[in-house]
Amino acid sequence: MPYDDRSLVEFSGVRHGTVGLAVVWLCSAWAASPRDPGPADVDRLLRARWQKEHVTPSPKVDDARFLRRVYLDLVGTVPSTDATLAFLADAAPGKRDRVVRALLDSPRFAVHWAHYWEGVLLGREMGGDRVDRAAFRDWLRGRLEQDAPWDQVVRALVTATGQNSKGGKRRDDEEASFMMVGKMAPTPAAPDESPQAVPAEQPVNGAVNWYLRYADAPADLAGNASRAFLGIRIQCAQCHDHPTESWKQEDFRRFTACFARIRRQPLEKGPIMGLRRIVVDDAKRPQFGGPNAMNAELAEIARAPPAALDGTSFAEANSPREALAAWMTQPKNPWFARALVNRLWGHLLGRGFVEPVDDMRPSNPVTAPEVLEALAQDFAKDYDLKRLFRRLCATQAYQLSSDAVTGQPAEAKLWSRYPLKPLGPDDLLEAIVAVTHIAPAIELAGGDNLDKVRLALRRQFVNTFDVDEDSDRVDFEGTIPQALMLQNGSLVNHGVTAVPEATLKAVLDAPGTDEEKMKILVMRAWGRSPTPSEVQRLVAFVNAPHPLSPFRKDDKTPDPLGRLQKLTQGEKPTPKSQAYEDVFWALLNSSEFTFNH
Amino acid sequence: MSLPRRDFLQWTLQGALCAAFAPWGAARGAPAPAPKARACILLWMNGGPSQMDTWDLKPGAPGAGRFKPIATRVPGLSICEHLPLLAERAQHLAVLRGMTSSEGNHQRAHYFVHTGYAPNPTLQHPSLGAYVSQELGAANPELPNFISIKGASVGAGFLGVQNGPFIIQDPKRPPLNVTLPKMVDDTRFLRRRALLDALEGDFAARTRDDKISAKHKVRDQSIRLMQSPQLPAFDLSLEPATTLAAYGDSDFAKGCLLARRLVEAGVRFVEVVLDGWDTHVDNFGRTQALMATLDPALSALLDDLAARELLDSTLVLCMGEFGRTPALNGNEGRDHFPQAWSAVLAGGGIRGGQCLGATAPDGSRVVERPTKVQDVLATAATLVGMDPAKTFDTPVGRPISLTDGGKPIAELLA
Repeated sequence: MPYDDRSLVEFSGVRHGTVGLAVVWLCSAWAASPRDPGPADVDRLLRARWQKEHVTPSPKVDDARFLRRVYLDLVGTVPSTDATLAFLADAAPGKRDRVVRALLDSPRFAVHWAHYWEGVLLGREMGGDRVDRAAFRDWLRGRLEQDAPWDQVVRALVTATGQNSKGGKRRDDEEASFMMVGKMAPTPAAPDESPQAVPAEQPVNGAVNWYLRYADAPADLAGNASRAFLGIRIQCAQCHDHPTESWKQEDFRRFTACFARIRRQPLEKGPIMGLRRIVVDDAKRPQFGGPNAMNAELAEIARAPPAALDGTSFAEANSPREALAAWMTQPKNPWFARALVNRLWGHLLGRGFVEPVDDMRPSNPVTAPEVLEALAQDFAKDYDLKRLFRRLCATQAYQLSSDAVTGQPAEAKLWSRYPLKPLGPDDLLEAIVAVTHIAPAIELAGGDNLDKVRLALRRQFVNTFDVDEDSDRVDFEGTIPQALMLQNGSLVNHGVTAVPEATLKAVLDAPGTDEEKMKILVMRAWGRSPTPSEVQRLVAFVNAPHPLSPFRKDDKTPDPLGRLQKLTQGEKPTPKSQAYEDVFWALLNSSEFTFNH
Repeated sequence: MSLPRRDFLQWTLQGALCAAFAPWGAARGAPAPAPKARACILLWMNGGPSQMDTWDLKPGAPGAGRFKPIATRVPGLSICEHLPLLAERAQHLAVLRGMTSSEGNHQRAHYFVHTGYAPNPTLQHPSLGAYVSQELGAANPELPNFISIKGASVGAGFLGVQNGPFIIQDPKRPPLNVTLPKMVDDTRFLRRRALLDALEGDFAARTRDDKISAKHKVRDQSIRLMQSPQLPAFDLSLEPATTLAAYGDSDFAKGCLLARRLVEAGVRFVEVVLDGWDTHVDNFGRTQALMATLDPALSALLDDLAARELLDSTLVLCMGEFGRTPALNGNEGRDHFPQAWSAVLAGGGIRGGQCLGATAPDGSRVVERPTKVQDVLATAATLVGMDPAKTFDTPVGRPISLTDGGKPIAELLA
């Protein structure tokens, strides 16, 4: 439904404060790329499936919705209005692939996916004073920025040695990212940390923090390696043998034993505040001890000869974890490429070929195995993550609309329509900040600086959502606190007001009719032009007679953004200005905003 | 005052039979006994309290420390001198001195004591709070069924977020965002919702996706909470000054009082966190200060529940993730010690006024009636009317039992 977008173009012309990514894709000029296998064979295979199972896929998604989708999936935020309008105006062929490539090369891609992998590899817990999450994230981001192939990333992680951190205080952003159990108090040296001479300071290798996160629980380290890199939940075999599964307890122990010789030596001993600097290397013998020294299971693991999941023995290897890393990442490994392809397909398309995405045990059925195989074989040629993203984003399945097909069951089958994916806490917070453009007003109002406010909000958001970052859930798992925050929370409710430089201020100040203003507001919030009936409804709403809602001065409820109030003190709210705020509020609370669709 | 021999025999025999057969009967799916508890309050001693300085003093032991035991109202049971109010109320308490476990890391043990399972990333186990709230159902559909005060507890895992904890960071204030913003009155809120419903209608019609109705269900619940006449349950200013004073001044005390108000209003599970027990340094100073917080708060909670005739139907659990070493470290502190520690139960229809289990004279190990965390959870489950051996189908298709084979503690089930 093409709609007159003139007002939008005019609006975008006078806009200031473009969000970082706004025009990034425009600036990118691409040399003709070497011919790589397009998504055609994937499309062909999937279409054959659809035909066989009488599934009618939804139509292709329109450009505006595609752009929002690909921004959220690749860089974790929504496009600015400028970016959307430029994309819509681009008439040259191949623009969808062009924008995907520009996003993959933008700094935000590395930041967003480093955060994703941090969640998968470290989980949500802080990990005590040993784990420098920021150093780990920096390391991941560097690998992604430098286009490191996936096999090299994994090899570097599994074999990492060196120092975890520069020490000192935790960076604020990591404190805010994760739900903490209790407060961080000074921690003593763990009793297992041996009385050897203090090792010399070394260059920081953030990768060792992955090991340190699980240093007291080698079984968890092995379990995480197996799930994240091989898509196998070997840890199911930790507790008992299961008659129908391939791996027995002894296999699990032997796999875990690959990590048994990793040694950690702290540079500081005794109680410290902040992060403890630790040097990680390999010892000649298994290193288990500490508070779990009496744990019989650990003794069993220390005794087990190290081996891979297919039984390949590393008992004679000089370094079992180097041998394991080599075994994992060799092209012959049946799980390595499939695990990553399945995970990313599941992340982008809502469901993996195998579900859960990290449970590819032989008895777990695969949907459309031929598609998984085609993608995995191609990925194993170079383990190029960005090439894989490009391929996935170019598939017909990824570019389907999320609308249900008339006359078809609503339930999506075989990825016959794009899923509704709830925005996670970080993406939602970013999207609200971006869409409301409230940051300059927060700065203007003084007091805590923007970063502090952001951190406080982030902490609230993350705590409120109760999500498991490690799992890409397709089911809607909203919570009551989350619903309360979207409706009554400080960020949304100040964000929808006409404070200086904020979106609503620009909308109200722009010349034009209510119709034109609504087009701007909807484009800003939803990243698309409204339909005529939507415009009509919203215009009718702001022009209906409303009583003025008074400000409750005597209400003592704390409001983290209360200072913004003084920025609009001179201006008396009118029923109509409040109605505009209500429209913006409804747009931000809508499913079209809170889902990636 | 000797017990007649025949009675004594009968009594011990009954006890033995009870201990031997009760769990077996439960495991076979025998009809569960009528539930005694309708609610549960978990006082979470975060960090792991030192058992040798609180519930299980060892005068004369090498690491005895500086606190003295005092007698309680229960003959033969003595506890720390810094818990005088609780000593006066020991007839309600069951002190378990034989707790033993093997998780010595805070995060792992926090998860383990809440769920009965060591963390295993392949499965998120539900916490006691989640299954109690699921099993008992909502007495009051407007309020969350599982509330955690001043800490995050552990979630509902595969039972789903609707059974997870509603977190209150500050017990002195209403829950976050439960009141309308200052610039929005009821009429305006209604107007906003009407517009939102219209927008949602379009999107739902286009996508016909279940997730939208799931989202709306949660939103409707949140609105019921905002508008609930039960909301004053969160408001401690409605309590008389004498009650506020009895609990004490700390946030933990306020949390305990809030827990009582919430249980009265029909909430099934409330967890209140008292943080700071990780006393690697200055164990005695810090433990004494924490006891000064715990003693009046828990005592007032027991009195309050009893006065309202809620004590018999409200199980109170007081424990942390593990105990602390019997020996002192170089910093006047004690380190983590899961091998032998103490937990305390009260109310909920348990037999109070007793001490179960014992540790060696030096506190180094359990020598009598070892009790597992799973047994405590199974006891709580039994008290609320659940079969602790009941299994659940997990998302990976493997059935697991609620309490990992825990056996209800027969001596507590009067």
